[in-house]
Amino acid sequence: MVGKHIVLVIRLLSDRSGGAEKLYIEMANYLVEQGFRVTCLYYEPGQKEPFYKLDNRVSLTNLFIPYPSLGLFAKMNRLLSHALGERSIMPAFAWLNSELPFTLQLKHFFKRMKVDLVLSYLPPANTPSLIAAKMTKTKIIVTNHNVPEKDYEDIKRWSPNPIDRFLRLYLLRYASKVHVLFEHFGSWFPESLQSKIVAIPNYVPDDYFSLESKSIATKKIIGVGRLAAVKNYETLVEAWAVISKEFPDWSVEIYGTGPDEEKLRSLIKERDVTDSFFLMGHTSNVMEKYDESLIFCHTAIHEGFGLSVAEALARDLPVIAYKDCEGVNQFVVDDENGLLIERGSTADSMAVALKQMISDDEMRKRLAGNAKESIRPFSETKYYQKYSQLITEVAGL
Amino acid sequence: MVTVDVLIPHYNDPEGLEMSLKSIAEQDWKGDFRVVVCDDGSKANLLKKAEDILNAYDGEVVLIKSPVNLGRPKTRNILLDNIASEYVAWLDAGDEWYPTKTRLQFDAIYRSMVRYENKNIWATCSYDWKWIGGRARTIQQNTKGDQVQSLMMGKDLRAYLWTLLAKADAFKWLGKFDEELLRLQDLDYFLRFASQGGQIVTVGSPEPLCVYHKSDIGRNGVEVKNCFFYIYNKHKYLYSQYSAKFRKNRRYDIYMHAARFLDSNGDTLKKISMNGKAFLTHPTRYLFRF
Repeated sequence: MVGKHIVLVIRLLSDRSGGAEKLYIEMANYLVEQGFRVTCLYYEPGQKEPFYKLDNRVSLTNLFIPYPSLGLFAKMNRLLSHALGERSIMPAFAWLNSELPFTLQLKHFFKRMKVDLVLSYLPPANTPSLIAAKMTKTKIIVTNHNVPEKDYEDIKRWSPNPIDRFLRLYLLRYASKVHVLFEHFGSWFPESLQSKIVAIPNYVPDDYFSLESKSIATKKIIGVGRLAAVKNYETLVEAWAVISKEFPDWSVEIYGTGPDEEKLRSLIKERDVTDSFFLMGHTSNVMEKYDESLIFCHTAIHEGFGLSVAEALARDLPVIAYKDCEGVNQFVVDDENGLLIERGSTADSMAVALKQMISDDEMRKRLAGNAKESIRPFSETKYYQKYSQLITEVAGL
Repeated sequence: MVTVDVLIPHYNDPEGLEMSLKSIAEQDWKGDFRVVVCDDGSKANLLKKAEDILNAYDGEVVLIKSPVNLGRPKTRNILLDNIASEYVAWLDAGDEWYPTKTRLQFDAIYRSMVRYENKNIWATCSYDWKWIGGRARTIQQNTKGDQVQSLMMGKDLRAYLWTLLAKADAFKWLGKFDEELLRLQDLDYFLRFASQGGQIVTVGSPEPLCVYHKSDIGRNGVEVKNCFFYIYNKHKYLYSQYSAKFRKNRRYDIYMHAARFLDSNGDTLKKISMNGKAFLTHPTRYLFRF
C-alpha cells in the first residue's frame, strides 16, 4: 500500500472552516501518515491557504482555470436566455460552463498522475469527479455529509440547475462506494445503489475522551455552531426570554460566527436578555468552554452529523435538542443522555425543557453521567478503522 | 552536526567528477558532506579512473555501480533511494559549486523556514552558464510570482537540479523522477514540486554560486521536443490554467529550442522541419523573431 496514490477532491477549500473541510484535511493527514501518496485537489479562484492545517507531505493543487476557454458557453448562455427567456436550453450551457472546466481538469489529472483511488467530498465535487473517474476508469468513493434529502432534493442547497440536480444522483451508479453518515440515511437512496452504500459516522476527537477537565462548571448553557438560519438560534433566544427572569444566576453563551449575527443581536436586544444571553464569536479552545458549562442546547433544524453535540456529550454535558433533527437524534436518546423535544410553532417546548433541566439537578446529573459512554462508539479510532477497511475493500490497498 | 548528502550521477566523465569533487571540498560551510555517486554503467577504464578519484577524496564517499547504462532518470532515482542525511544537494559530474554556495543556501533555508513554516522548501541560486569554449553568463533565479508559470516559461526560473539544496524530506515527499523522460526530467520534477504546494526560495544575492558547463553538442533535438510534449500532456491540467496564447508560445519555444540543438549538431533537414513546425504554431512570432 505504501506509495499508492490517493486523491482527495473538494470544490472549495481556501480559508473555509466547515465540518466537511475539516474531515477532508484530517483524512489527507491520516492517509499520508499511513504511507500513501496523497494529493488534495480543489477548484476555485485565489490561492489562500486552507483553514485547517494540512500535513506538509500532502500535495495540494488548485486546478482552477483562470482563463476559461469555455467563455463561449457563457456568451451563448447569455444570448439564449435573452432570446428565449428563462425556460430555454440555458441550464445545459450554464452547467457546461461551470462544470466542464473542472471535470476536464480532473480527467487530465486522473489520467496522467496514476491515481489509485479518489475520495470526493460534497456534491459540487462529486459530480465532476464521478464523470472524470468514469472517463478514466478510476475507482472513486463519494462521501455525503448531510441528510440525503437535503443534498439531493433541496433546491436551496448546492446548484439549483436541474441538470446538475439530475446528474448528482444519476452518476452515483459509477461510484465504487457511496458513503453516508448513518445506516438510516442510506435507505433514502434507490434500490439499485443499496449495495454501494457504506455508513461511517463522523467522530469525536480522542482528546475529548481522554483529557481531564481543567475548569469548574458554572451555571451556563452553551450552544456551538454557525450563526445561520439552519441552526435556528432565534428559538433559543425566544425560549430564554420566557424563563430568564426565573433563573437570574444562569446565562447562555453561543460560540460561532455567521451571517445571522446581526439579526440575532437585535433579537436579543428586543427580548431584553442582553445581560444573560451572549454571542461569544469564534473560540480556539471550545473544549474548555464545554467544561465550563452545565447544559448543551442545540436548536438546529437538521444536521448531517451534529459534531458539536457529540463533542459536548463526550465532555459530560447533557443535551437538549429537537426530536426531528436528523444527525443528532441518531445518538441523543431522550431521558438517557439528554432531552429530545417536539418542535412546535413556538419556542415553548424549548423553554419547558430548559426549565426542567435547570431546576432538576438530579436529572441533569443522571443524564450527564450517561453522556460520555453514549458517544464512545463515535471514536476517532473506529472512524479510521472503518475508512481503512473501505479503502482496502475498494482499491485493494 | 548537520550533514549534506551530495548526489552525483556519473557517466563516462572522471575528469568532470574530479572537478565537481574539488568544488565540494572547497565549500566554506562548516558541516559535513557525504558524497553519493551513482555510476551509470561507464566504460571499465573510465570507471576505474573515477574510482581512483573517489578513493583520493578526503571525506565520506559512497559509490553505487550500475552494471548497465540505465539513463539519467533511473540513476537519479537510485540516488534518491540512497539518501541518508537530513539535507540533500545535487551535483552533476562536470559542474562546479563556488565556495559559498552551501553556506548561503543554508541561510536561505533557515530564513524561509519561518516564513513558509508548513511547506517543503527548496533553495536554488543564481549560477553561471558557461558555454564550452565561450564566455560565462550569469543567470538569475527569480522565485517571485507564480513559480509554475515561471518554470514553464523557463526564463526567470529554470529547472536545474544541481542548483538545489533542501531537506531530504522535501525530495522524498515529491517521489521519484519520471523514468519515461530521458531529457527534461528536471522540468517535470520542478513542475510537480511547485504545483503541489512546494516553495522554491533563492539565496537573495545576485552573485552566481555555481557554474554549469554547457554544450549543445550531442543533444538530440527531436528527443528534447518529444520529452517536452510528454511533459506538456502530463501536466495538461497545469498548462490549461494559463491562456491559449501562453500555451501557443510555449509550444513555439520548444520547437525553436529543438531547432537550435539540431542546428548545433548539423542536422539540417530536421532543423528545417522543426522551424516549419514553429512557424505553423506561431506564424507572426516566427516571422518577427529578429
